[in-house]
Amino acid sequence: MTHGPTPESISDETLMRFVDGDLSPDEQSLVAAEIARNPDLTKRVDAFRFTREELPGAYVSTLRVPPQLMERFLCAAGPAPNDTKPRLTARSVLERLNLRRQVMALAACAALLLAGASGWLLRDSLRPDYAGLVAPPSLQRALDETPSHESAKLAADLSIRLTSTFGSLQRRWCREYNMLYANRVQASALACRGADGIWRVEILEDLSDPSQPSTDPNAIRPAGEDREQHGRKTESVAEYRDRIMAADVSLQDEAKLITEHWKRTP
Amino acid sequence: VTDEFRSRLVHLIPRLRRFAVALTGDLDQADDLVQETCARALSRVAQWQEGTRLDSWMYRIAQNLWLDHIRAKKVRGAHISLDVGDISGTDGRVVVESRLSLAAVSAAMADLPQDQRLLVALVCIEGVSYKEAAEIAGVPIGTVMSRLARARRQLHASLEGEPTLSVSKISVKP
Repeated sequence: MTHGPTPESISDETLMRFVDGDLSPDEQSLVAAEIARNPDLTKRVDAFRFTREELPGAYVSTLRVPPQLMERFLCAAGPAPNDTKPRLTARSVLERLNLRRQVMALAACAALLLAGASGWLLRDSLRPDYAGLVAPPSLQRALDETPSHESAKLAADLSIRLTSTFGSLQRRWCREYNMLYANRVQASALACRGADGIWRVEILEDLSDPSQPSTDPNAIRPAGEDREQHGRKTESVAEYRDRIMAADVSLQDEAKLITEHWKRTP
Repeated sequence: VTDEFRSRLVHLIPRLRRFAVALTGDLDQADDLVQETCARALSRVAQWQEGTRLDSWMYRIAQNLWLDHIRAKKVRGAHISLDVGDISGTDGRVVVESRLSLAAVSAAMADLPQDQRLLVALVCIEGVSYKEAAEIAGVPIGTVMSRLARARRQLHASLEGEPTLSVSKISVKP
């Protein structure tokens, strides 16, 4: 320490370090003894105890981050280094970013959205035997209400396009969809609806391969190719779908399910 | 962006938001700052060194963005727009967390110089060590202690109406 405590003179910095537990055990004992002996020191130390113990409580409410706000934070793409303008839109960012960065931003956004809503790691969502990752609220709504071959917007420039609906061997309704960012397909995914009415993302396949950058937004990519990720082969969405599918659902039956809020079981 | 980074960032956001509120004194500005900080972190993730503290790195980014914002907008001090309505929970109920209201604390924080407010936010609210605060703020640890002691005395006097009693061995100009 730079200024060791002495019985004669104890600085405010030392009292503050005492309160914050920054002194050595010997110094801590010495200061504690002096405070017990000297009422003036007790008064002086109050300011540091007060700010240590009382201030954080005033900010507790700010720790609760609503899901919509979490989505907004996590879907922010990277601004230019010297830009200080707040509330950058995804569109303005895209004007400045190259494709690879767009792809990275989306991959991060998709993963963080999922992780932010549930606290689970993305790598868990990529495990074929994964029990289920709770979809964020905007995705829950889109999966509940959007017919196949139609799109639903989740956030600025982020949308999904439903590709199919089927009943699984576990008697759950499942839906396959593509995630699009700035009208480009970035990921393929499959979510199933549990008995609790909650959609869980079973598998998400990152399609943001920089060697295949351009995709027509109207021509949805099938997610059936074997892919190598992080040096190991992972199951594709199509393979996973084929493994768990019991029966396909026609567009007419799907429309009924949507109207009836998915009440019927497969 | 690794899975580990994603997960740690998600878990850090609530604390980052609390720090931003303490720094800006305004929920809207704090949320903008968190958004910008996340964007900056995601775009520069390669600059973060595995094994180092992500929270310190994020606090430093937020601090630099806020200082840039202040310089650009010539913002003087914190904006105080926090009231009970602003801090209600998502279910609409106001939850009393402390005998001190956020509005009162933010008003007292706004009277502090920016450099002192930063240190109070880091040490008293976020609980980082003096050494980490010195690294984040880019000032010597002795400066951290003298500024922090002064700021805490002022906050106590302002929030508790106590006269400022002080004996300081270190004299540092703000």
